[in-house]
Amino acid sequence: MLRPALIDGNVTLKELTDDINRPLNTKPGVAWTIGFLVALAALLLGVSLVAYQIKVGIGTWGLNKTIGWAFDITNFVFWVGIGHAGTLISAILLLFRQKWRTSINRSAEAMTIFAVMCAAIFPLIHMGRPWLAFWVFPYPNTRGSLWVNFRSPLLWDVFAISTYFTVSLVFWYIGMIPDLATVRDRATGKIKKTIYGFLSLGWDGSHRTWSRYEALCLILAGLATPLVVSVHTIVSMDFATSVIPGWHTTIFPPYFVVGAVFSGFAMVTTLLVITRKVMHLEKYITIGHLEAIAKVILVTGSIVGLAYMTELFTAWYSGNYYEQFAFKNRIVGPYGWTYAIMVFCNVITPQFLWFKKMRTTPALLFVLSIIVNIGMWFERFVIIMTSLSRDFLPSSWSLYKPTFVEVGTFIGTFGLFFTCFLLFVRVLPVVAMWEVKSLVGHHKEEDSHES
Amino acid sequence: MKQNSEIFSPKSKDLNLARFFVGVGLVALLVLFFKDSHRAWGNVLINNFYFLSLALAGLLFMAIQYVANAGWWTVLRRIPESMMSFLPIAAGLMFTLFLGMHELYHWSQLYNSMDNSVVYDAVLQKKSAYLNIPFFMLRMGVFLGVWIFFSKLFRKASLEEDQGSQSHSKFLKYSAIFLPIFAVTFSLASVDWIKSLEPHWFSTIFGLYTFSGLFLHGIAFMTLAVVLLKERGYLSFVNENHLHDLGKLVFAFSTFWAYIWFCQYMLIWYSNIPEETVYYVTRTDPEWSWLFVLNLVMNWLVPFLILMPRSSKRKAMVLKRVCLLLLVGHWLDLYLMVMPSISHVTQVRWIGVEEILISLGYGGLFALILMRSLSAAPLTPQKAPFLS
Amino acid sequence: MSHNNFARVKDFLLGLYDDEQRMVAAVKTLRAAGFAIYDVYTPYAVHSLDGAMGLKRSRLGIVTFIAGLTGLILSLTFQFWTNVIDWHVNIGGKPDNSTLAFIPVSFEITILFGALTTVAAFFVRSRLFPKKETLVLDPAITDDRFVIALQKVDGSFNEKKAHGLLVASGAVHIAEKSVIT
Repeated sequence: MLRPALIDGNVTLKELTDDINRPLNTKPGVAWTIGFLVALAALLLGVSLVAYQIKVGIGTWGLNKTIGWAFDITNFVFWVGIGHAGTLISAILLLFRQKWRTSINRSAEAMTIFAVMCAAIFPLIHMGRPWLAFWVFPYPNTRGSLWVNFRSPLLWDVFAISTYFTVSLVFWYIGMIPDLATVRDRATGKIKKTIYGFLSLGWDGSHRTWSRYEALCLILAGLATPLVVSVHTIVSMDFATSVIPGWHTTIFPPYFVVGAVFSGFAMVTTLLVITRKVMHLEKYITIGHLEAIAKVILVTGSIVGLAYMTELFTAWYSGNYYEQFAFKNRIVGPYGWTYAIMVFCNVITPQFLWFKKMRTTPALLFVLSIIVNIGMWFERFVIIMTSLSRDFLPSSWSLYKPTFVEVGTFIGTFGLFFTCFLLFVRVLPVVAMWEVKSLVGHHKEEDSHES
Repeated sequence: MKQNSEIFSPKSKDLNLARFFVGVGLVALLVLFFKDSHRAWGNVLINNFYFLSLALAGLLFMAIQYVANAGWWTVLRRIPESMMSFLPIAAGLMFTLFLGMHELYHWSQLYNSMDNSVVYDAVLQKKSAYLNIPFFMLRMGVFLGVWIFFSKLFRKASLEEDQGSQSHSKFLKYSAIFLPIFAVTFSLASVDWIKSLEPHWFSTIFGLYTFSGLFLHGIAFMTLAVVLLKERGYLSFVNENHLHDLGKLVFAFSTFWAYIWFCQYMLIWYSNIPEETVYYVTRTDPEWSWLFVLNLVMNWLVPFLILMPRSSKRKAMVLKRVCLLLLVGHWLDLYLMVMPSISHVTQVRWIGVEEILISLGYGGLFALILMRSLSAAPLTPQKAPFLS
Repeated sequence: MSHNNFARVKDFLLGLYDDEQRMVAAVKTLRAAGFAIYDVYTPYAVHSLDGAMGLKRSRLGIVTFIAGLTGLILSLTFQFWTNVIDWHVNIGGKPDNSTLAFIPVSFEITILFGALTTVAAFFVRSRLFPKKETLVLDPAITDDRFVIALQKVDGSFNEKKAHGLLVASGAVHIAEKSVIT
């Protein structure tokens, strides 16, 4: 057996339908309820703090004249990065015909959408007057028309993030239509029947539609793949187009993309280890899936490590005083401890995944994924903070400490993320039934070929 | 699947053509050495690196496929295997650079001469711990040695598999060890051999840029080899679906190359820092700029537009032409990395007959080694697990 | 349900299968016997059905290409127009026409246009919209049943032969259904 089984044991199509539909037609369990209440509390904290800082102003943050970007952008990049794994699993692995994606793509895509929502909050509130957020779009206005600055990477971000969100949402919904029809046909109660009926757009399983549908999915995957790369590329250009040492470096675009995938797969692991347990999906989200994800984490983590080394080596090799100082400051400067955390979490920890035992034990993977999540948050913090706090002019050097408002807002985004995710597992089919079914059907085919 | 044990035997017409090219190339190179030794060494470096990366691409391709646990390519495995059989010769050719250090790398003069003939350069003094001839040659020896070692391991395991031994887990192990080593060694090698031609300039993405070129032209060459072998009546079981997979890879990596190209150029253009723009100032100079644009057109725009429709990825003739274009395109890419850097000492601004003949000579040598290696074992791996 | 004079009634003969392979074989047999397959209803996409039913490849890709190209041209021209013609502003000494800096936005718009238009085209072509009266023949289709639908075209439909072929090819159940359109 060269390739591991995609689902554990023999499942009939009917059992599969029932297993995935069950949570949608039963009462939530204790674990879910507690989790939901905690998430909701965090969300409420976030909402009230956002209201507070909009009312009072950005002065409630720990920013100062030297450090104009800190927690907010760190969190923004962190959340956008997390989103990347969802698109990678649903689009790139589809193009590469990696069948193991089928059990996890639905939840990973959901994660993408919620993560991008969390990310979008930060630039929005950093505007100070978020009710004028529509100014970022180029529309004819009474100020000239004074157009937006298309040469600014921050504007590229606007287009990248909104396109990414739209296309991911559409891709997610399209992938869900056949399953929504399955839910519709099994829903009890008139309200549920109406809602799922509305959303499933009269899907009847016609093969003429299926045939076109598959073509559509491939096209969307083909579009989403360069899109996801472009998004973190553009995010990295927020920094890399500047002239600040430690920010301006040509490796940033690919290095950010890989880092995003790395952190995103860590978050997928965090979510799936819990989901499969709580929702009793061990049969569909198998150890084999977790191991495949773990391998991606190992590869991307090592590439991230290589990028760190490349930066360090090139800083030395450049012979440029400012470059060299930026990296020395990163390692032994006032934020040196964050650099140490970053290297430990992102480079050293993933190396444990060389061991099969590590890759196949959900509890260990869970711990590791949390460590990687922390590490990737610190990576963005290190990049942003060390370069800003000590730039070319020593007299303007400064330090930064987050305030309660900033920390609380960040916790609030976790609240939003988990509230959305927990609702998702209750109201939508968490595994792409039709995709897993096609595997079950083909398995059957292979079996009967052998007999 | 039926066991296929056809043996490749090269046509004498092909062999003679390759030998003829080697002869002509050698003469052209000798002539050029007398005419303009800087330009001659530039050509040696371009072609050394070009064919070395082709050989390395074979090794790398195999390692990646094993790690990814992919099966579709197994029927084609002999092609990357034969590509990497050129590694020892590529290494030998690489070592000849020792004789041309001063013509190519002006940091080497700084180290070498104690007299006052070389202007004191503060930046290069700082770098001399890394950029000095003994260390440069030592690194070269280590990189090449490691790559050759792994290529021998792969080939041995592959031939053992033909005899029925279980090589799959061995391949997997070698690949997993090789890939991180390759990433580090190749990044440094591209810094040493190409980037240090302009020792003041630096760009962190450079290793990845040369890597993307290596992988793209490796796949393009493999695809071309498949089509050529099919034209000669071999690999009859390779169908449109195999071609489609190769076509998709060519398409994807051509775009990946363009992405890396854009990242490097755009970021350096945007930040406009003199230490960095110097690289592109030379290359977008009117004398070079048409080649600079042509590079992007050949390596990305044309392949991208041609390979976009599904049907063209499935046609052998289309793939053959696109791959030929890419192979020339990659040569141009390397030419643009090397020649403008040494243009302050050589007056060349043009790809002349010498360039073409020397490259054909290298190509002929590569083809000879490739054909010898291809004919040394059955053209399809025997008893490979994914084939059953 | 009242019949009015304009409504047409379509009568169908349905063969229900519980196995992908048997169903695909049945489609092939029926087509070989000269029956036109109205449609096949399945719980998941069965790739081999494309060939068995003789479906042409989808042309959605052409829509994507045209829409994407439109987005690319529009966004490039728009950025050029705003920066060079309508209102030029010197920002950081960058040239008015900084095409390199226009590429990221143009790329995003290309993808956005391509994706949304293709999805819209898919919905229109497949006639998928909310509140659509579904032709759901059996809720088991979205579970584990494969249904071959043959339309009883007046006069030319040999019902007995079709019935026989469905049974012989392993249908677990055979049903009839009339749909008013």
